[in-house]
Amino acid sequence: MDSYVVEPQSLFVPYLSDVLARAELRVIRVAPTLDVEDIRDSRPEALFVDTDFLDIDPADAVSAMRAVLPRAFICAYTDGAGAGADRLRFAGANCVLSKRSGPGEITDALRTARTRGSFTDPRCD
Amino acid sequence: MLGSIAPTPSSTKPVRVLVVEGQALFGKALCQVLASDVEIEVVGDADSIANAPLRRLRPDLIVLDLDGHHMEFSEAMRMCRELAPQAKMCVLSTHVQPEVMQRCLSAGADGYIVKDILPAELIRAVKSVAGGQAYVDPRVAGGVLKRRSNGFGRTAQNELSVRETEIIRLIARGMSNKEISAKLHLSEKTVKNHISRIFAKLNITARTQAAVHAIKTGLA
Repeated sequence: MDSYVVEPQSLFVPYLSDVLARAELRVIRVAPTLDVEDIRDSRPEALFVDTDFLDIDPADAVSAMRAVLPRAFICAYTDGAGAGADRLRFAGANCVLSKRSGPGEITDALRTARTRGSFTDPRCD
Repeated sequence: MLGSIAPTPSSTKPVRVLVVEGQALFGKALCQVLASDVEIEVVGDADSIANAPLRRLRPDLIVLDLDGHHMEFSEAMRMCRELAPQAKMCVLSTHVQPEVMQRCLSAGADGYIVKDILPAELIRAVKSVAGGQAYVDPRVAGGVLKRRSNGFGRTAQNELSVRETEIIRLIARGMSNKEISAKLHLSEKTVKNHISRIFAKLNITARTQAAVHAIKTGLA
């Protein structure tokens, strides 16, 4: 799946891209901040967003993404406890991943989410 | 960066670096970036100080995540000093607020890096700290200078600790004690204790006052 990543930690992006590739998510574009117009214009099949650096409420960000790409696979990457996984799911996230997860857990979770339609790391509940 | 660029350590002996980062993927990414430099040897990585074999690894420098610990930051620093007294400490943080940086340096950190740093700058920062120089993210250092020029400051007695600063920022975001305790992996009782100390230090009695203070002072 062609994937769009929202992640300001630039040194992290190459490693993250490798991990996503193992889950068949090919990164086609990376943005340091949420830019809904750019997301719409890029027309990715999947979105991976680090929710801890957004200027707006993470659930609102997911809603905005869902609004411009109704069929996209959306993955929220969060620091875990207290992240409001319910709100992220309700806003339209298919997958809620914990930053405590290692690379193997991330790829497994992404594959599970794509197969079953959703996945939430229990640490984010 | 504060001060001049430090000479790099001897090219025949790489700097032994231990990465302690709660965000697992980010930690691996850090290791990958640091290991790409021939003058740096990554001797290990851990998700917390408690899980890091400090005595065995004997690192020259510890890159320590400020945000992902299950203990007070000052306690993490104390453990590092006790178990690896030879090691320089470089703090990794998501915070660009000067107050947070100042408290880290007060707790004994030798460097303060913000997590959106570019790879080349990260390597330069690590080498500088290993070479005995202080390193502070230029944006944060700029904030300190601005505050000084504005005559802004509180007495040390009334300054908030790193943890208290984290908590007041979360209060300003409207989070409840329960949400704060979950986010910081603390008990609600501990959070309440921190908030009581915040109120006492700031001479306030309500969360809204704390939120206003955080916003006014640039903490939130």
